[in-house]
Amino acid sequence: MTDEILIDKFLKGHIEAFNTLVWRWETPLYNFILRYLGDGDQAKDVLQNTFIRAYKSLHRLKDHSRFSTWIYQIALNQCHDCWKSQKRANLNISDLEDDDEENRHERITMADPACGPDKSAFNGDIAEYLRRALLLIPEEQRVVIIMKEYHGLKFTEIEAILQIPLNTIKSRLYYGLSAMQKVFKQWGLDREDLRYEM
Amino acid sequence: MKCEDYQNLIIEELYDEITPGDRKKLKSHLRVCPDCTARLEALRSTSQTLKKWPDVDPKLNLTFIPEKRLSANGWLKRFGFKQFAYGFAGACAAVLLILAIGNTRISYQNGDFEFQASLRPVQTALPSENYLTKADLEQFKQENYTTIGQIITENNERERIRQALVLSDLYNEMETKRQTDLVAVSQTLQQVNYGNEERFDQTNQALSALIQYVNYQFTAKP
Repeated sequence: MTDEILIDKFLKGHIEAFNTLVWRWETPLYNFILRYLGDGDQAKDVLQNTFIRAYKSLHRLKDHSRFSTWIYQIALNQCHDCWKSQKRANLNISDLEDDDEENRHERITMADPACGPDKSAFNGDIAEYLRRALLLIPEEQRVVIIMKEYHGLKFTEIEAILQIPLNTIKSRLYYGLSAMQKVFKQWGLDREDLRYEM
Repeated sequence: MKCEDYQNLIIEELYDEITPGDRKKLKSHLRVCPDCTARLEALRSTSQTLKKWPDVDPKLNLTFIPEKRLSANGWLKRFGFKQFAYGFAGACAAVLLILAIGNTRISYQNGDFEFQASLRPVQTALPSENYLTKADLEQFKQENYTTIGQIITENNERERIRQALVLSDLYNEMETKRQTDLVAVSQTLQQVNYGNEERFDQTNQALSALIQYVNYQFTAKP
Protein backbone atom coordinates (compact mmCIF):
# COMPACT_ATOMS: atom_id res chain seq x y z
CA MET A 1 0.00 0.00 0.00
CA THR A 2 1.46 3.34 -1.03
CA ASP A 3 1.92 6.31 1.24
CA GLU A 4 -0.74 8.18 -0.69
CA ILE A 5 -3.37 5.51 -0.07
CA LEU A 6 -2.45 5.41 3.62
CA ILE A 7 -2.76 9.19 3.87
CA ASP A 8 -6.20 9.08 2.22
CA LYS A 9 -7.31 6.42 4.67
CA PHE A 10 -5.95 8.37 7.62
CA LEU A 11 -7.76 11.51 6.54
CA LYS A 12 -10.97 9.47 6.37
CA GLY A 13 -10.51 8.58 10.02
CA HIS A 14 -8.49 5.34 9.96
CA ILE A 15 -5.75 6.00 12.47
CA GLU A 16 -4.18 2.58 11.77
CA ALA A 17 -3.15 3.97 8.40
CA PHE A 18 -1.09 6.64 10.12
CA ASN A 19 0.49 4.00 12.36
CA THR A 20 1.49 2.09 9.24
CA LEU A 21 3.15 5.25 7.94
CA VAL A 22 4.97 5.60 11.26
CA TRP A 23 6.25 2.03 11.16
CA ARG A 24 7.34 2.49 7.56
CA TRP A 25 9.17 5.75 8.15
CA GLU A 26 10.50 5.51 11.69
CA THR A 27 13.75 3.71 10.83
CA PRO A 28 14.88 5.95 7.94
CA LEU A 29 13.86 9.10 9.80
CA TYR A 30 15.48 7.96 13.02
CA ASN A 31 18.77 7.29 11.24
CA PHE A 32 18.55 10.65 9.48
CA ILE A 33 18.03 12.45 12.79
CA LEU A 34 20.64 10.37 14.60
CA ARG A 35 23.29 11.22 12.04
CA TYR A 36 22.29 14.86 12.12
CA LEU A 37 22.34 15.26 15.92
CA GLY A 38 24.75 12.48 16.85
CA ASP A 39 22.77 11.53 19.95
CA GLY A 40 20.46 8.52 20.15
CA ASP A 41 18.21 9.78 22.96
CA GLN A 42 17.75 13.18 21.37
CA ALA A 43 17.10 11.50 18.05
CA LYS A 44 14.26 9.50 19.60
CA ASP A 45 12.71 12.65 21.07
CA VAL A 46 12.99 14.51 17.81
CA LEU A 47 11.57 11.54 15.89
CA GLN A 48 8.58 11.45 18.20
CA ASN A 49 8.01 15.18 17.79
CA THR A 50 8.30 14.80 14.04
CA PHE A 51 5.51 12.24 13.93
CA ILE A 52 3.34 14.26 16.30
CA ARG A 53 3.77 17.29 14.08
CA ALA A 54 2.96 15.18 11.03
CA TYR A 55 -0.11 13.74 12.73
CA LYS A 56 -1.43 17.18 13.52
CA SER A 57 -0.81 18.78 10.16
CA LEU A 58 -1.17 15.98 7.64
CA HIS A 59 -4.58 17.32 6.64
CA ARG A 60 -2.80 20.42 5.35
CA LEU A 61 -0.62 18.47 2.91
CA LYS A 62 -2.30 19.06 -0.42
CA ASP A 63 -0.15 16.91 -2.71
CA HIS A 64 0.02 13.50 -1.03
CA SER A 65 2.71 12.30 -3.40
CA ARG A 66 5.06 14.77 -1.69
CA PHE A 67 4.75 13.02 1.68
CA SER A 68 8.39 11.84 1.81
CA THR A 69 9.66 15.35 1.05
CA TRP A 70 7.26 16.82 3.55
CA ILE A 71 8.15 14.46 6.40
CA TYR A 72 11.87 15.01 5.78
CA GLN A 73 11.24 18.75 5.96
CA ILE A 74 9.50 18.37 9.31
CA ALA A 75 12.31 16.18 10.64
CA LEU A 76 14.87 18.64 9.35
CA ASN A 77 13.18 21.60 11.03
CA GLN A 78 12.93 19.68 14.28
CA CYS A 79 16.62 18.75 14.04
CA HIS A 80 17.57 22.33 13.27
CA ASP A 81 15.60 23.64 16.27
CA CYS A 82 17.08 20.99 18.53
CA TRP A 83 20.60 21.67 17.31
CA LYS A 84 20.17 25.41 17.76
CA SER A 85 18.70 25.09 21.24
CA GLN A 86 21.44 22.75 22.40
CA LYS A 87 24.21 24.98 21.06
CA ARG A 88 26.23 21.88 20.88
CA ALA A 89 28.18 22.52 17.71
CA ASN A 90 31.79 21.55 18.04
CA LEU A 91 32.63 24.68 16.13
CA ASN A 92 31.43 28.19 16.71
CA ILE A 93 29.17 28.32 13.70
CA SER A 94 28.26 31.96 14.22
CA ASP A 95 31.90 32.82 13.56
CA LEU A 96 31.66 31.05 10.26
CA GLU A 97 28.48 32.63 8.97
CA ASP A 98 30.27 35.37 7.09
CA ASP A 99 32.77 33.04 5.48
CA ASP A 100 32.37 31.69 2.02
CA GLU A 101 32.03 27.94 1.53
CA GLU A 102 35.71 27.28 0.80
CA ASN A 103 37.13 29.28 3.71
CA ARG A 104 34.67 27.63 6.04
CA HIS A 105 35.78 24.20 4.89
CA GLU A 106 39.43 25.11 5.52
CA ARG A 107 38.75 26.43 8.99
CA ILE A 108 36.74 23.40 9.99
CA THR A 109 39.33 20.90 9.04
CA MET A 110 42.10 22.92 10.64
CA ALA A 111 40.16 23.56 13.81
CA ASP A 112 39.99 20.09 15.29
CA PRO A 113 43.24 18.20 15.10
CA ALA A 114 42.71 16.86 18.61
CA CYS A 115 39.05 16.02 18.22
CA GLY A 116 39.62 12.70 16.60
CA PRO A 117 40.39 9.36 18.15
CA ASP A 118 43.88 8.08 18.71
CA LYS A 119 44.94 6.13 15.64
CA SER A 120 46.49 3.40 17.72
CA ALA A 121 43.26 3.06 19.70
CA PHE A 122 41.22 2.40 16.62
CA ASN A 123 39.10 -0.59 17.42
CA GLY A 124 36.83 -0.86 14.43
CA ASP A 125 33.82 0.99 15.90
CA ILE A 126 33.38 2.86 12.68
CA ALA A 127 29.89 4.15 13.47
CA GLU A 128 31.18 6.01 16.53
CA TYR A 129 33.99 7.65 14.54
CA LEU A 130 31.68 8.58 11.70
CA ARG A 131 29.25 10.04 14.19
CA ARG A 132 31.99 12.22 15.64
CA ALA A 133 33.36 13.13 12.25
CA LEU A 134 29.97 14.26 10.94
CA LEU A 135 29.52 16.55 13.93
CA LEU A 136 32.69 18.39 12.93
CA ILE A 137 31.25 19.82 9.74
CA PRO A 138 28.60 22.55 9.52
CA GLU A 139 24.93 21.62 9.61
CA GLU A 140 24.23 22.62 6.02
CA GLN A 141 27.00 20.38 4.66
CA ARG A 142 26.17 17.55 7.06
CA VAL A 143 22.53 17.41 6.07
CA VAL A 144 23.36 17.20 2.37
CA ILE A 145 25.88 14.43 2.99
CA ILE A 146 23.39 12.46 5.11
CA MET A 147 20.65 12.76 2.52
CA LYS A 148 22.93 11.73 -0.31
CA GLU A 149 25.10 9.08 1.32
CA TYR A 150 22.68 7.37 3.66
CA HIS A 151 19.31 7.98 2.08
CA GLY A 152 20.30 7.94 -1.57
CA LEU A 153 18.14 10.94 -2.42
CA LYS A 154 18.49 12.49 -5.85
CA PHE A 155 19.74 16.05 -6.12
CA THR A 156 16.26 17.16 -7.20
CA GLU A 157 14.72 15.52 -4.12
CA ILE A 158 17.22 17.25 -1.86
CA GLU A 159 16.42 20.49 -3.66
CA ALA A 160 12.72 19.98 -2.92
CA ILE A 161 13.38 19.31 0.77
CA LEU A 162 15.91 22.04 1.43
CA GLN A 163 14.51 24.48 -1.12
CA ILE A 164 17.92 25.71 -2.18
CA PRO A 165 19.47 25.78 -5.69
CA LEU A 166 20.97 22.58 -7.10
CA ASN A 167 24.41 24.14 -7.50
CA THR A 168 24.45 25.09 -3.82
CA ILE A 169 23.63 21.51 -2.90
CA LYS A 170 26.44 20.15 -5.06
CA SER A 171 28.85 22.73 -3.70
CA ARG A 172 27.95 21.89 -0.10
CA LEU A 173 28.36 18.21 -0.86
CA TYR A 174 31.75 18.79 -2.44
CA TYR A 175 33.10 20.81 0.47
CA GLY A 176 31.45 18.58 3.03
CA LEU A 177 33.00 15.45 1.56
CA SER A 178 36.36 17.17 1.27
CA ALA A 179 36.16 18.13 4.94
CA MET A 180 35.25 14.57 5.86
CA GLN A 181 38.14 13.29 3.82
CA LYS A 182 40.58 15.47 5.74
CA VAL A 183 39.14 14.34 9.06
CA PHE A 184 39.43 10.69 8.01
CA LYS A 185 43.02 11.30 6.99
CA GLN A 186 43.83 12.87 10.37
CA TRP A 187 42.23 9.99 12.21
CA GLY A 188 43.75 7.30 10.02
CA LEU A 189 40.40 6.15 8.73
CA ASP A 190 41.51 6.51 5.14
CA ARG A 191 43.97 3.63 5.28
CA GLU A 192 43.23 0.95 2.74
CA ASP A 193 43.60 -1.95 5.20
CA LEU A 194 41.21 -0.33 7.68
CA ARG A 195 38.67 0.24 5.00
CA TYR A 196 38.47 -3.46 4.36
CA GLU A 197 38.49 -4.37 8.04
CA MET A 198 35.51 -2.22 8.81
CA MET B 1 37.77 26.22 -17.67
CA LYS B 2 39.55 26.06 -14.33
CA CYS B 3 39.56 23.02 -12.05
CA GLU B 4 37.09 24.72 -9.66
CA ASP B 5 34.57 24.81 -12.48
CA TYR B 6 34.55 20.99 -12.54
CA GLN B 7 33.65 20.58 -8.85
CA ASN B 8 29.94 20.15 -9.49
CA LEU B 9 30.59 17.78 -12.37
CA ILE B 10 32.83 15.67 -10.12
CA ILE B 11 30.01 15.45 -7.59
CA GLU B 12 27.50 14.53 -10.32
CA GLU B 13 29.87 11.84 -11.60
CA LEU B 14 30.43 10.52 -8.07
CA TYR B 15 26.71 9.91 -7.62
CA ASP B 16 26.06 8.94 -11.22
CA GLU B 17 23.72 11.83 -11.87
CA ILE B 18 25.69 13.38 -14.67
CA THR B 19 24.38 13.95 -18.19
CA PRO B 20 26.20 12.21 -21.05
CA GLY B 21 27.43 15.55 -22.39
CA ASP B 22 28.84 16.65 -19.03
CA ARG B 23 30.43 13.23 -18.50
CA LYS B 24 32.25 13.56 -21.79
CA LYS B 25 33.42 17.04 -20.82
CA LEU B 26 34.60 15.85 -17.39
CA LYS B 27 36.42 12.84 -18.78
CA SER B 28 38.36 14.91 -21.24
CA HIS B 29 39.38 17.19 -18.34
CA LEU B 30 40.35 14.28 -16.10
CA ARG B 31 42.60 12.88 -18.81
CA VAL B 32 44.78 16.00 -18.58
CA CYS B 33 44.31 16.86 -14.86
CA PRO B 34 45.81 14.44 -12.33
CA ASP B 35 44.67 16.68 -9.42
CA CYS B 36 41.01 16.43 -10.33
CA THR B 37 41.36 12.70 -10.97
CA ALA B 38 42.89 12.25 -7.51
CA ARG B 39 40.16 14.42 -6.02
CA LEU B 40 37.42 12.31 -7.57
CA GLU B 41 39.01 9.12 -6.25
CA ALA B 42 39.48 10.62 -2.79
CA LEU B 43 35.85 11.70 -2.65
CA ARG B 44 34.76 8.24 -3.84
CA SER B 45 36.82 6.68 -1.08
CA THR B 46 35.35 9.08 1.51
CA SER B 47 31.87 8.25 0.28
CA GLN B 48 32.58 4.52 0.69
CA THR B 49 33.89 5.07 4.22
CA LEU B 50 30.81 7.07 5.15
CA LYS B 51 28.58 4.23 4.00
CA LYS B 52 30.12 1.99 6.66
CA TRP B 53 27.72 3.42 9.24
CA PRO B 54 24.79 1.02 9.11
CA ASP B 55 21.20 1.93 9.83
CA VAL B 56 19.93 1.08 13.29
CA ASP B 57 16.43 0.22 14.45
CA PRO B 58 15.11 2.81 16.92
CA LYS B 59 12.84 0.18 18.54
CA LEU B 60 10.40 2.89 19.54
CA ASN B 61 7.13 1.16 18.63
CA LEU B 62 5.32 4.46 18.32
CA THR B 63 1.57 4.01 18.09
CA PHE B 64 -1.02 6.71 17.73
CA ILE B 65 -4.42 6.14 19.28
CA PRO B 66 -7.57 8.05 18.35
CA GLU B 67 -8.65 10.94 20.50
CA LYS B 68 -11.94 10.10 22.19
CA ARG B 69 -13.25 13.59 22.25
CA LEU B 70 -11.93 17.00 21.56
CA SER B 71 -12.10 19.53 24.32
CA ALA B 72 -12.67 23.20 23.56
CA ASN B 73 -8.94 23.64 23.75
CA GLY B 74 -8.51 20.70 21.39
CA TRP B 75 -10.84 22.26 18.83
CA LEU B 76 -8.94 25.49 19.18
CA LYS B 77 -5.66 23.71 18.51
CA ARG B 78 -7.04 21.64 15.67
CA PHE B 79 -8.61 24.46 13.76
CA GLY B 80 -6.25 27.19 14.85
CA PHE B 81 -7.01 30.43 16.60
CA LYS B 82 -7.68 32.26 13.34
CA GLN B 83 -10.38 29.85 12.18
CA PHE B 84 -11.90 29.85 15.67
CA ALA B 85 -11.99 33.67 15.71
CA TYR B 86 -13.62 33.78 12.27
CA GLY B 87 -16.17 31.19 13.33
CA PHE B 88 -16.98 32.98 16.57
CA ALA B 89 -17.36 36.34 14.83
CA GLY B 90 -19.61 34.74 12.20
CA ALA B 91 -21.79 33.11 14.84
CA CYS B 92 -22.15 36.43 16.71
CA ALA B 93 -23.08 38.20 13.48
CA ALA B 94 -25.69 35.55 12.69
CA VAL B 95 -27.22 35.86 16.17
CA LEU B 96 -27.38 39.66 15.88
CA LEU B 97 -28.97 39.36 12.44
CA ILE B 98 -31.64 36.99 13.74
CA LEU B 99 -32.34 39.33 16.68
CA ALA B 100 -32.62 42.28 14.32
CA ILE B 101 -34.98 40.47 11.97
CA GLY B 102 -37.14 39.43 14.90
CA ASN B 103 -37.38 43.03 16.21
CA THR B 104 -36.03 41.77 19.49
CA ARG B 105 -36.20 44.04 22.46
CA ILE B 106 -34.39 43.31 25.70
CA SER B 107 -34.78 45.63 28.69
CA TYR B 108 -33.68 45.55 32.29
CA GLN B 109 -35.69 47.09 35.11
CA ASN B 110 -35.58 46.53 38.88
CA GLY B 111 -33.55 43.34 38.62
CA ASP B 112 -35.67 41.78 35.87
CA PHE B 113 -34.83 41.28 32.24
CA GLU B 114 -37.63 41.71 29.78
CA PHE B 115 -37.36 39.97 26.42
CA GLN B 116 -39.66 40.68 23.49
CA ALA B 117 -39.46 39.46 19.94
CA SER B 118 -41.88 39.80 17.06
CA LEU B 119 -41.77 39.98 13.30
CA ARG B 120 -43.63 43.30 13.46
CA PRO B 121 -41.97 46.34 15.02
CA VAL B 122 -42.62 46.48 18.76
CA GLN B 123 -45.08 49.19 19.69
CA THR B 124 -43.86 51.26 22.56
CA ALA B 125 -46.53 51.84 25.18
CA LEU B 126 -47.61 55.44 25.62
CA PRO B 127 -46.68 56.96 28.95
CA SER B 128 -50.32 57.82 29.68
CA GLU B 129 -51.21 54.11 29.69
CA ASN B 130 -48.87 53.48 32.59
CA TYR B 131 -50.48 55.99 35.02
CA LEU B 132 -52.01 54.56 38.24
CA THR B 133 -55.11 55.90 39.97
CA LYS B 134 -55.50 56.37 43.76
CA ALA B 135 -57.97 53.49 43.90
CA ASP B 136 -55.36 51.26 42.23
CA LEU B 137 -52.82 52.27 44.87
CA GLU B 138 -55.28 51.60 47.68
CA GLN B 139 -56.12 48.18 46.27
CA PHE B 140 -52.42 47.43 45.87
CA LYS B 141 -51.85 48.42 49.53
CA GLN B 142 -54.67 46.16 50.73
CA GLU B 143 -53.33 43.28 48.69
CA ASN B 144 -49.93 43.82 50.23
CA TYR B 145 -51.35 43.77 53.76
CA THR B 146 -53.21 40.56 53.03
CA THR B 147 -50.14 38.94 51.56
CA ILE B 148 -47.94 40.02 54.49
CA GLY B 149 -50.54 38.73 56.96
CA GLN B 150 -50.62 35.37 55.19
CA ILE B 151 -46.85 35.17 55.23
CA ILE B 152 -46.73 35.90 58.99
CA THR B 153 -49.40 33.27 59.71
CA GLU B 154 -47.60 30.69 57.61
CA ASN B 155 -44.33 31.47 59.38
CA ASN B 156 -45.93 31.07 62.83
CA GLU B 157 -47.48 27.76 61.85
CA ARG B 158 -44.17 26.56 60.40
CA GLU B 159 -42.34 27.53 63.61
CA ARG B 160 -44.91 25.74 65.79
CA ILE B 161 -44.56 22.56 63.75
CA ARG B 162 -40.77 22.79 63.93
CA GLN B 163 -40.84 23.14 67.75
CA ALA B 164 -43.26 20.20 68.06
CA LEU B 165 -40.97 18.08 65.97
CA VAL B 166 -37.97 19.04 68.11
CA LEU B 167 -39.84 18.11 71.30
CA SER B 168 -41.00 14.85 69.80
CA ASP B 169 -37.41 13.99 68.83
CA LEU B 170 -36.22 14.85 72.34
CA TYR B 171 -38.89 12.65 73.93
CA ASN B 172 -38.04 9.74 71.67
CA GLU B 173 -34.37 10.10 72.44
CA MET B 174 -34.95 10.17 76.21
CA GLU B 175 -37.27 7.15 75.98
CA THR B 176 -34.67 5.20 74.05
CA LYS B 177 -32.04 6.09 76.63
CA ARG B 178 -34.30 5.06 79.49
CA GLN B 179 -34.98 1.68 77.87
CA THR B 180 -31.28 1.16 77.39
CA ASP B 181 -30.55 1.99 81.04
CA LEU B 182 -33.27 -0.41 82.26
CA VAL B 183 -31.82 -3.23 80.20
CA ALA B 184 -28.34 -2.52 81.58
CA VAL B 185 -29.57 -2.50 85.22
CA SER B 186 -31.52 -5.71 84.66
CA GLN B 187 -28.46 -7.42 83.21
CA THR B 188 -26.29 -6.29 86.13
CA LEU B 189 -28.83 -7.56 88.68
CA GLN B 190 -29.00 -10.93 86.95
CA GLN B 191 -25.23 -11.20 87.04
CA VAL B 192 -25.12 -10.32 90.78
CA ASN B 193 -27.86 -12.82 91.54
CA TYR B 194 -26.12 -15.57 89.62
CA GLY B 195 -22.87 -14.86 91.50
CA ASN B 196 -24.58 -15.08 94.90
CA GLU B 197 -26.26 -18.38 94.07
CA GLU B 198 -22.97 -19.82 93.00
CA ARG B 199 -21.32 -18.71 96.22
CA PHE B 200 -24.17 -20.28 98.31
CA ASP B 201 -23.73 -23.57 96.49
CA GLN B 202 -20.00 -23.56 97.17
CA THR B 203 -20.58 -22.84 100.88
CA ASN B 204 -23.17 -25.63 101.14
CA GLN B 205 -20.81 -28.09 99.51
CA ALA B 206 -18.01 -27.10 101.88
CA LEU B 207 -20.25 -27.46 104.96
CA SER B 208 -21.60 -30.88 103.91
CA ALA B 209 -18.04 -32.06 103.31
CA LEU B 210 -17.07 -30.82 106.76
CA ILE B 211 -20.04 -32.57 108.38
CA GLN B 212 -19.15 -35.82 106.64
CA TYR B 213 -15.58 -35.51 107.84
CA VAL B 214 -16.66 -34.88 111.46
CA ASN B 215 -19.08 -37.82 111.38
CA TYR B 216 -16.36 -40.05 110.05
CA GLN B 217 -13.99 -38.95 112.82
CA PHE B 218 -16.60 -39.76 115.50
CA THR B 219 -17.48 -43.16 114.05
CA ALA B 220 -13.87 -44.11 113.50
CA LYS B 221 -12.85 -43.56 117.15
CA PRO B 222 -13.53 -46.46 119.49
